[in-house]
Amino acid sequence: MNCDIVFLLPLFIVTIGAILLMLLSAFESIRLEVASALSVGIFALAFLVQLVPIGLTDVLPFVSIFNGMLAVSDFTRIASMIIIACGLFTAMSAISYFRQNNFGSLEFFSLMTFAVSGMLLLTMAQELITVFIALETVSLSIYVLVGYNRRNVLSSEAVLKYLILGAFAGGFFAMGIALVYGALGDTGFAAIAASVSRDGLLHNPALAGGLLFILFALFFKVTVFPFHSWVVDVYDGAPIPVTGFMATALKTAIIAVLANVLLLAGDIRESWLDMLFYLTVLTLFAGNLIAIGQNSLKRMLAASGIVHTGYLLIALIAVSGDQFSGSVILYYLAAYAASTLGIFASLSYLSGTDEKRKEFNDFSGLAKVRPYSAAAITIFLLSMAGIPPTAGFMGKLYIIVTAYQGGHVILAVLGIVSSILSMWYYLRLIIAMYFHEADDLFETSGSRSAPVCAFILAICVLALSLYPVAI
Amino acid sequence: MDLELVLSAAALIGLAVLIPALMLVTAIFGPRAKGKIKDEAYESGIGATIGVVDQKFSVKFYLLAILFLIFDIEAVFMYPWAVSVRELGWFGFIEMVVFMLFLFTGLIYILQKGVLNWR
Repeated sequence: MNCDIVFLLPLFIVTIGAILLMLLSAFESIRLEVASALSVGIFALAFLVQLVPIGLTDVLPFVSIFNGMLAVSDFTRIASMIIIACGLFTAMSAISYFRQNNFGSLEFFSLMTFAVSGMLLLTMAQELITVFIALETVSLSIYVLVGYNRRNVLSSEAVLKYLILGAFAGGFFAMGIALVYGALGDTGFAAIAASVSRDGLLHNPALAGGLLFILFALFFKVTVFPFHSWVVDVYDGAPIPVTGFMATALKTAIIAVLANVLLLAGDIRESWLDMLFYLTVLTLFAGNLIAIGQNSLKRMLAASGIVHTGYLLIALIAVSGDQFSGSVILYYLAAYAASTLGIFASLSYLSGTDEKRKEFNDFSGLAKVRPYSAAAITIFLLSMAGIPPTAGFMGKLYIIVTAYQGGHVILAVLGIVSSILSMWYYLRLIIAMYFHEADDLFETSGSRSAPVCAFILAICVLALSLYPVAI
Repeated sequence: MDLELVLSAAALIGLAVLIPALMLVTAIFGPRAKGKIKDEAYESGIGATIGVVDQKFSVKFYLLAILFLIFDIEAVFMYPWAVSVRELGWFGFIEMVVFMLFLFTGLIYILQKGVLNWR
């Protein structure tokens, strides 16, 4: 009981930090740089607290008060660490972006911290209503962040589209909860799992329908194939640091929920295996096809996020549920987060005023003018494509080996094929940067925090690849 | 499989299919008279609509919305607590104080943003 508070301490730190930032932004007494540094400090503190290991078993903090609504394990701990790190690097690189574009206010950091607190809750939630509340906390903050640049028409379009998508997903989720509660009289994951393993999923149509709705809502949020439609537009319209934040932190949180729903009760996954298989294959190839067709860098990265979701789904299908530690999924998420955040940090710095450099061609000859920036972007792109000395390669390797060992040979082969296809659009930017002549001086203004961020993340990408994972 | 569950599911699906289908059928096959006066908007006996429908309103209304929400949520949670204040004891009291503090920070935020200085 006494040490239970340690498990929830990161959540408390982040939430209280968010409220503090909100009050400070009301009084407008500090500068943007100070707010950024403050939120970096909050995230760093939460990250350090989160380093305390727990052990593999689920710990239910404050059972008498929370009634088993939250569970903490090493899986949730590492997922929270990835999310907090995403928040930290976004807060750092956002300041460069704001200084270059001459907008931004203190509330940005408060909203981002609120979103992170919701995501931390999402990873720990063991009950549908808790998931719903956490999901809405995250979504409401992110709606505002997406439309943060109010003078930009694209940004307004993005926020409207995201709002409609979010309302849709929220509606599906609420309907799913209602059906599950109607079927079982309980909304806890443990009760659902017990019912499914006792009677089978199709014994109770309301339960099956409710779970299907819940899966759909979560698929909307992680952009699985038939639910991906507007995501590219949303990612394109949002300010660059927000796009990076959404692509990494949000995906980590939702994949953690999906893992909690699908894996901790292995029978649920078995019942949906065919559907998950086809969705995975379609997600991989639809994402690749969309990405190949893009000329804008941000849109390409958004579409490649769909492909990475496909890989994570392979892992969700293939990982054995018996001794679930989630190491393969978390390793891939960490590798993906580091490289994606890195490239968005570089873009926050290099895209110039009003994001004037956004196409592949706008970055022609970057290597001649700014060799270090080009090298950093190359490391991130190679990691996302899955070329050996980087974390992205190891992540894909672990996932494909897991799929093979789990008997999903078709998924393993399709994963490799999709990885080869993805070279097309990742290498395009590298070719533009290194083999074309520069007709731009790539002048930048603003603080140096985003380049520092990119530098740290480039080291992370290389260092993570040395970290071994037990499959 | 419970018969009731199947029936209720069938009823839900039936409603979800039947109502749009009926609306579609009437839209396609229903008789329709068109005319200059018929197509005009009609509002409570007044011939023409007054003002514009899609008028813009100030973004400042978000402050009023927050103000409403804070006191609304406060009332929603205060009443059940007041009913069972004796059973919950000091634990409930402290929980409520923490909750009020959270709401109070929101109130400070909007007061500082000038919700009460309406211009």
